[in-house]
Amino acid sequence: MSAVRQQALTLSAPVDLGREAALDAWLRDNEPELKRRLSDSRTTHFARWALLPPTLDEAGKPIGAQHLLLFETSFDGELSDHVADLRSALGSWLDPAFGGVVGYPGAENLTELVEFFRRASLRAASFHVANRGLSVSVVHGDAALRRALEARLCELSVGAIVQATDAVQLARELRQVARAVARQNGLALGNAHRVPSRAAGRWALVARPFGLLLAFLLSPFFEWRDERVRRRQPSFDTPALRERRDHLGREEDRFDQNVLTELVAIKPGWYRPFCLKLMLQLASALAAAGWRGGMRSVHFTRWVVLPDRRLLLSSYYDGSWQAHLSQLVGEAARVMTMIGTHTIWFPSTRLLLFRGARDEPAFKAWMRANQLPTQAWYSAYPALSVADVAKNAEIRELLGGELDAAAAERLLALL
Amino acid sequence: MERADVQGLVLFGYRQHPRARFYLLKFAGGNPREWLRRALPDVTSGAEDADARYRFNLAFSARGLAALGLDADDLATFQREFVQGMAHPERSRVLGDRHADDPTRWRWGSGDEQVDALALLYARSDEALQERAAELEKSLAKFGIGHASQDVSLPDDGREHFGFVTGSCEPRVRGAGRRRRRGEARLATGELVLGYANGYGAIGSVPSAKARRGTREHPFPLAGGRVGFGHNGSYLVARQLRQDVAGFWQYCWAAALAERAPDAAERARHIAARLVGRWPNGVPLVEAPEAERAAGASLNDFGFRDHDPDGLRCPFGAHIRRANPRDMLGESAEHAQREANLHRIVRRGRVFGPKLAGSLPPPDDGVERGLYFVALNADISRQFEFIQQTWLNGGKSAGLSGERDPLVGADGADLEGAPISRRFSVPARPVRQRYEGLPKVVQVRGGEYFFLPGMRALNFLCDGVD
Repeated sequence: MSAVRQQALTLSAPVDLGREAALDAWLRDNEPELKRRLSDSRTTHFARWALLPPTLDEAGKPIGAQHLLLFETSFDGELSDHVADLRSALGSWLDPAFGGVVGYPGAENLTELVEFFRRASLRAASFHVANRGLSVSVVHGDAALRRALEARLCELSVGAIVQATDAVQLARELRQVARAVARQNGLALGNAHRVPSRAAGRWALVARPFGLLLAFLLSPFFEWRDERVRRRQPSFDTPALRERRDHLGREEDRFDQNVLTELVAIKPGWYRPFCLKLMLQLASALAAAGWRGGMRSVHFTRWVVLPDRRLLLSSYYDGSWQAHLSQLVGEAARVMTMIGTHTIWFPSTRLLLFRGARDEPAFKAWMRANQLPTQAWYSAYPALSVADVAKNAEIRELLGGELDAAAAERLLALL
Repeated sequence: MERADVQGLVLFGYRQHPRARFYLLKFAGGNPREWLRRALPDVTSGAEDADARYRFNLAFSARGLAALGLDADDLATFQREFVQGMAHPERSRVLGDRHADDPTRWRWGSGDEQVDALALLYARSDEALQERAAELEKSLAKFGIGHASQDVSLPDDGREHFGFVTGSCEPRVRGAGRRRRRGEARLATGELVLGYANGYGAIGSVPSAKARRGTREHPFPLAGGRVGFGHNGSYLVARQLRQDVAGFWQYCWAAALAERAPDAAERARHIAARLVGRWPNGVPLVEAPEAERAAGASLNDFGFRDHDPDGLRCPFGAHIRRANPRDMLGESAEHAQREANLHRIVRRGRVFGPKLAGSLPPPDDGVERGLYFVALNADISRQFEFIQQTWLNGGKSAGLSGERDPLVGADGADLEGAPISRRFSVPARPVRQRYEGLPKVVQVRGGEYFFLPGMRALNFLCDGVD
């Protein structure tokens, strides 16, 4: 088993008028069964179904007439294999899960199904993967490995204390346990699954200096215009939004992981999508260069610019909404500001980077106002945090290498 | 800070008034507005003279404010957590109040036992407390206000029921009028009192109410015939926590015996200190990891990042490290401290019930004792609930996996909602020690979110007509 490339599938397709309520209800009612069935999928890390209603633009007019179904996954390998795997895992539940979606061909013909997924998919302007190269089966294998090591330590304990004095000797004993578990799970001890850091991202940082310079030069104009619009704009804290906020509050924090679906209109002007994409590329480049601000507890996140001038953010994160938002404000305020400033209702910014998301109450209110319910979602490893996945992978890597004093000490510190 | 307009509890812990009685009030069938009008002169403000014999403060739940005339539009301007109340299922999920802590099992704060107000009376001695309490109870009876009360106190020896020195790490709030002590975190005024800049440099949302005719002095007139009711107010969190002192020490004793420690009593105290993160005399484990030593001038002047990055001195899961990670969780010490300061509260809790006496391990005498936790903050969600949900109950907090706070953490649950064993890891060489099957030694017996209005806002509540 070698490293795989995790990819983003982001399907967005209109739902027949009048059928959105039925699809909404079906997805909510059947979420447990969808989760159960998806657990048979070998390629799916996370998946979600979310209905995107027509939302308002800056002038208060609805964008689009129909609801869109967002179906997105973070998956291993190639799209055609993934679609085949989804079809096999979901079986007869695939068709009702896309009930009323325009152009959906049905699950019977795999070729047509793959073609539909390909056609209706959108490219993510930015896609963040926390633990690159680790396939679903490797993540599960690493977790099983860790459980076995913990169990062995328990056997060696008197009370709370493991009866061992020598780190290298103990580590080597654990390696014997690990080899047996690895054989059972088809897992290779060592770093065969590690993906080298992508250098391309760093190039993106310097490859578009002209665009970035232009965006910054234009920023005083953007902000002058935004302030004028803001003075005319009514508050977005309407009773309908309050009701949705209450609904979202009821739905989240049920597990250690949570899901975020945000949809917001891009401000008018041809230059806005241009600047936005540029900023998203810059964010991707920063992430590829190793910057993890605000993303330490995010498994996967993607930004997608929809053809109808709306920006979609979808992510899976550990812990509570409040903790996640605090982390974004504390560590990624500038990145959130340079992206968010091109969308409506965003708190006022200065020179593209300043204020904006640092205005914590206004930023959180903006996030809540644009957040949509997620009708159904799935995680292949709901009990594992980003840190758990990374830690388990490091344990496997250390067990596959030479266990000298330093490696043994590091290995034992991870358990 | 306008100290004359905030209630005294915001600024002071009333250490000169160690005896106290907390009253839970129910307004149904009574005349709360008239009672409040009479009680108003007795309420202690932040500008009170320190020699006063009594201290008295008042806070209201959302239903209490509704009973005093605030309508649905007014209440919608308060924080959602406050309006929902602590027993609301959504809040229970956030706070981890399930199984033994489920609000259906509370003595007050849920179901038929919801309360409208919390009245806090403090005195210098038991006699003085009795005397003043009798007057207060007479006045409550006169205006038909139901009440239940609990005697609480500052412990004489400064130690809470488990036997540890308490109150060692209060933050200093800008404008509170006292000098900063060594090691104290500096908080922006708006982290405690509404209407001032908070830790982000922004003024958070301040609740408002419709202006009333006939009011002599409105709190902060706003446009559109409204008043800034929340200015100089603060949200008050109250939770009555029962402590199983015998269960706590019996667990430490049994764990010491299981390790075949030569001196079980000494080892049991060491295990207890690791669960707390301090020795019983308050000395932090970061400074004295192996044995208790005499307390120095400050018990609050330490960090974790430089002295204990691997948790080998004070375990990552220890109570004090979870409840306040200080300089640990961030890219740098300064960044981590700045972030941690956005999630602080000011505590005003007191203990109730007699101390449990006896040698180690003490037998269970069946008497209820514990902590009446009272905390003040400006943003319930970002401050109190964040601490509870992310730091104390976060199974993944500080790189740990599947552990919760060993003292006040909620019962853990697996993906199907079934309870899971409580455990606690102690980083060590060559490999961590792990304590399994920890008992639940703190149980929630009641709780509510209250609002502690400013002095002018209190006047507004009982003055004028709608």
